[in-house]
Amino acid sequence: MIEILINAALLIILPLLFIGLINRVKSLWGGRQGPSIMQPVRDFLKLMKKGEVISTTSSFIFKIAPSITFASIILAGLIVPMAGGRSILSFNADFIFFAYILATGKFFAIIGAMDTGSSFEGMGASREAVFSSLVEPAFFIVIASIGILGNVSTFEGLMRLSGGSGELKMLILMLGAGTLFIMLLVEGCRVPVDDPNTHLELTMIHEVMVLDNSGPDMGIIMYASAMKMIIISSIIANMVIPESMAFGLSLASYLAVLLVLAVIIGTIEAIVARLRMSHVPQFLFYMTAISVIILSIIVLTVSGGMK
Amino acid sequence: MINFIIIVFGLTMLYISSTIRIEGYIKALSIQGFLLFFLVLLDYDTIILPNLIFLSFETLAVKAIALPLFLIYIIRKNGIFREVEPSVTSMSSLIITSLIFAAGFYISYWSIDAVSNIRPFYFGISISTIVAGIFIIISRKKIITHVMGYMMLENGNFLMALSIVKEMPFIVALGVLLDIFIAIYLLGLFVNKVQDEYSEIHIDTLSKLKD
Amino acid sequence: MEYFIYGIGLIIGGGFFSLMLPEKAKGYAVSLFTGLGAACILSPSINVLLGQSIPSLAVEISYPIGTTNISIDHLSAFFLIIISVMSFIGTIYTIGYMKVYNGKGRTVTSHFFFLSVLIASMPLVVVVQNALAFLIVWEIMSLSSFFLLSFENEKEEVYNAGINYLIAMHIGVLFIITGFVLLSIKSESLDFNSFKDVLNADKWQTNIIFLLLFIGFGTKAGFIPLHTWLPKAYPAAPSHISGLMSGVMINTAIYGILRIITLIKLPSIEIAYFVLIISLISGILGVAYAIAQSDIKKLLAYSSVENIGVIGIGIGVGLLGMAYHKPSLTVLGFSGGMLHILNQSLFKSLLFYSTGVVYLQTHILHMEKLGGLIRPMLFTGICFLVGSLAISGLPPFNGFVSEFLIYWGMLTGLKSGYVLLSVMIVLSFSGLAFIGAMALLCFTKVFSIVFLGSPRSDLHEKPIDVHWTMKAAMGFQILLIFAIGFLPQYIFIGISKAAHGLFGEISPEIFTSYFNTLCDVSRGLAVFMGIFILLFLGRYLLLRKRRVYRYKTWDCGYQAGNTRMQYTGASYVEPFMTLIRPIFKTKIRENKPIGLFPSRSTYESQTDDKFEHAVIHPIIKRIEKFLNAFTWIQSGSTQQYILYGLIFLILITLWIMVV
Repeated sequence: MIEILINAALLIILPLLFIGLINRVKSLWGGRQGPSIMQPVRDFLKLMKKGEVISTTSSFIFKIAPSITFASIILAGLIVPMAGGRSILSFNADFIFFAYILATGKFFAIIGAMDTGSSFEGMGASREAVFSSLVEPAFFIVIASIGILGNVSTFEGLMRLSGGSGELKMLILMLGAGTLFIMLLVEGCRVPVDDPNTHLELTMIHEVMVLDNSGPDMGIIMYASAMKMIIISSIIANMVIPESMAFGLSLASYLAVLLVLAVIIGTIEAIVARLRMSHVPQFLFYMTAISVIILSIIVLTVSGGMK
Repeated sequence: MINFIIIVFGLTMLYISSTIRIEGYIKALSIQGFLLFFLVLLDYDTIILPNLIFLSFETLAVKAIALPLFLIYIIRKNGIFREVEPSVTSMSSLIITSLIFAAGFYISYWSIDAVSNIRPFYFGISISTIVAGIFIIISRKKIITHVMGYMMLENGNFLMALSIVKEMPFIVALGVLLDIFIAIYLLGLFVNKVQDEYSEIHIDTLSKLKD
Repeated sequence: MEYFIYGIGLIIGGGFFSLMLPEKAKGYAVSLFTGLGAACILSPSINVLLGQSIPSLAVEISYPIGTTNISIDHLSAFFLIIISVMSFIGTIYTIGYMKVYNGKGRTVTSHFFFLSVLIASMPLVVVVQNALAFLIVWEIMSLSSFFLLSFENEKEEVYNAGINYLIAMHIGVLFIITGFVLLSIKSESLDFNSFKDVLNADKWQTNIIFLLLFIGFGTKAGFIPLHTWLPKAYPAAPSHISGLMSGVMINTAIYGILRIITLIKLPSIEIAYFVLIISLISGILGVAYAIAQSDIKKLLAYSSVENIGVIGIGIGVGLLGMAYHKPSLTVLGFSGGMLHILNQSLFKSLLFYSTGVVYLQTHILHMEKLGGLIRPMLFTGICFLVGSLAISGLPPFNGFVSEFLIYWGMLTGLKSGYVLLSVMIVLSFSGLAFIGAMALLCFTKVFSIVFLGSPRSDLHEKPIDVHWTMKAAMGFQILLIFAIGFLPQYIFIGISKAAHGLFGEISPEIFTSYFNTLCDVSRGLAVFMGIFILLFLGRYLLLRKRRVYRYKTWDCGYQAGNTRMQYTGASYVEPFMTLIRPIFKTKIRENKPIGLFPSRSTYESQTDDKFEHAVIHPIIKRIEKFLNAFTWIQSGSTQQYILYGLIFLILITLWIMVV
């Protein structure tokens, strides 16, 4: 029970801090003083205090879309295993539910953007939809291949591989974590896929989809995308952290992995340029390629070919 | 650890198939050299000592350091354009390489029972590296990329030789000879300076040589 | 069983009765009689699913059909429920849709008559147990749907599409007949039950017969590469007919496949992989083609191919379970596949019906000319939105439940110990995810281009929402979609009973575990809705006392924006089309703007169906060449025809003399 409460608290607190941390790392690399880690929290509170501007072209979809997207991400956050490998809600095959509820959120984010009739937002929405159609199958290959070795009944059990030697497990989980890291960059809209700080609408993906949102809606969109990063980071953390640890230790290592991820993302943002838009699909295809490798390794392991 | 290195070796091939910078190729080749060096070191118990010393020198000094440096020197010297100019889009080339790797894994799966005394995982990755190297040669337009495709192919050979080193140690030594061949080939490129004859070293221009 | 007969009688009676009525009343009459008939058919079907004994009836029909068994077993009962409910909804919708065509005289009369015939023939298809009788009702169904489809046959494309449909159906029937003939020669009977022995005798014989029947039924269902009639027929047909055909009639083809599977006790591994791979291809290519379309109905037609693919994946997983003796795969695969049949008939016809409303109001099906329709037509817009969400398989709608069951079934087969099975499952697992992601792209495209933004062209009249009957029909479908989406556990009870003939009895413990999981899913959805309502309420409370401005969409400082500058459907899917260009045959004609003051520039893209070009056309060309050799027979000269008559008479005389 206490574990669940801690996880719920983490789910609420961590997202904005995570973003703050990334920005801080980035500013350190750039030799700037940089905003404090709490800056996203302040931005969020500021947005919640404002009124809204709503496009005259838009319909009710525009108003409900941010709330639905946020609700879907919260639900995904309840399902994903966090510190100690424990999730708040857990049932059979819940990771399918997880993937699909995120897709519902994405559907509404897209039609919410299209509702304004702006071609910028259409552009962002189109890219979001195409890129996620490349990410989704790879994510499912990773999940299912790990499922051959692991326990497929729940998301919690999925990260516990039963077959294979220790080294192989490590190899598979590292590759899995690598694939999910690409997914983290895509879904979190970070460099090199998307640049959250660019000021040219033509080159953005996620930021351009929310050009017309303002006030509390913008606030929850910001919070939601930060929470999505925490969710995917949690999967990565659970892959990397060995099981069978005391909860306290596991919690500490969970936080440490998140810290490392934030530093890595911040570093990438500081030193790598955003990819040309036409090159993003190949970058995403790496996910599929690596996941096929994972599948092959697992098949070889199961049939005794890994010596 | 060995498996991990082999996987990274495979990933470098994926990287090569999708990057458009020639320097990316060279970096990846250098990394492959280092990886092969580590593989040789990790296999110390199966290789006889003089062979081990020779192989580790060859991988580290020649494959990982000398040849890449030499390649960079040639590119700078000849003023070769920095993009590789593939004849297929890099997305399809990535997809094709992934398929080659999947096929390679299938071969290693098949070889578990069919061929004894070889390590299936080595075998699969090395075969797919060879095929991917051939694919690079086929699908890129520059002469310099042909040479590099050939070097990847040769690295694949080396890896395959390592997988059967216990049975036939001389195979590895034969493989090393290929490196010498490469070096001569590169030297030829360098000395003859094909550049003087044609404005850009391009495979299309070679077709003019037919009678 | 009598009720069933009465039901059929009522429906046909409604058709005859409508012949005598004035045009305005025809729709109501057909709808009323169909409703009564549907109720009569429903009652025995529901009883069967609730556990009563299977009613059956042996009808003596004269030679060559012989004794025909009519029985409502679990499988038939399931299909009867879908057919009767969906047909009834369809007829209600038809009342409103056909209002526009009143005053056209005989076309409307025959249309309503054939509608009744179609609706009456479909229940018969799923109950007759005799091969010849089956073929006869199957043919009645095909023909009546052909007449319905070519309603506006004065238009050339409608006429062509109708003929195309007719030919495709008959090629399909040819394969079914071949399959049945082989079966009845071996078993020396026409009864389905007697086929069992033949189908369980020799493995390869069974495979070949299954392949023949699969091609036959698959032509009707629309598996790739047999799908080419769909994208032509649906846009040509009036919307209620496209809805009925894709939502109801196609299901009878799936019924045919499932019926054959129930007759095969142990399907071979080859059959299972064949069905699974064909379905994966249909699913992926179907939705990829759908993305490329700009005609709404054509898009829905291709997406119908996709849904047939998803159903097929479910069936394929079930077959794998049978072939490898994995009961969990069988149960979840077949249940998922069958639930998807029900689901697809709900949301696909909902989408066709709301497209029909759009068409009635705007007379446009080309989505690049529409836009912003959700404001004048709120109800239709919501219907289309619900349909799009459901068809993309998103929770909390019904499409998710069936896909969830299929996914879950696959997961239970992962650790089978058979490497090939595991790899195939992982690949189809991600294939299904790919289909889902592409469906999301496809339906965000059509919904946002048609209903969101601003109108892209001037409409002659202001679109409004329509006749109450159409609203009622669509509203009822939305209710069902929500019910299945939110309470999947109860529908699972019904489905597991309906699939009884496919996998027998499930043990109570396993059933309870499945049931509980679905309860968890439904709880998760409740939590989701709860969070959403809380958030929306919170947003409302926050903004209640603040200023909410209405201002034009952010235009990046450009002041002269107009509605034609909005993102179009083609531009929305352009990144995706670029990715799949190597696989597809896309013709692009563009005239780029050049210079500082560019003159008129154009862009045009057209994605052709590669299968039609590569597979169907060459075959047709060969056949045409062959048949052209006989054109001299029909010369048009009367003398020649009389000569034929003379030759015929001489031949007859010779024959009689010889015999």
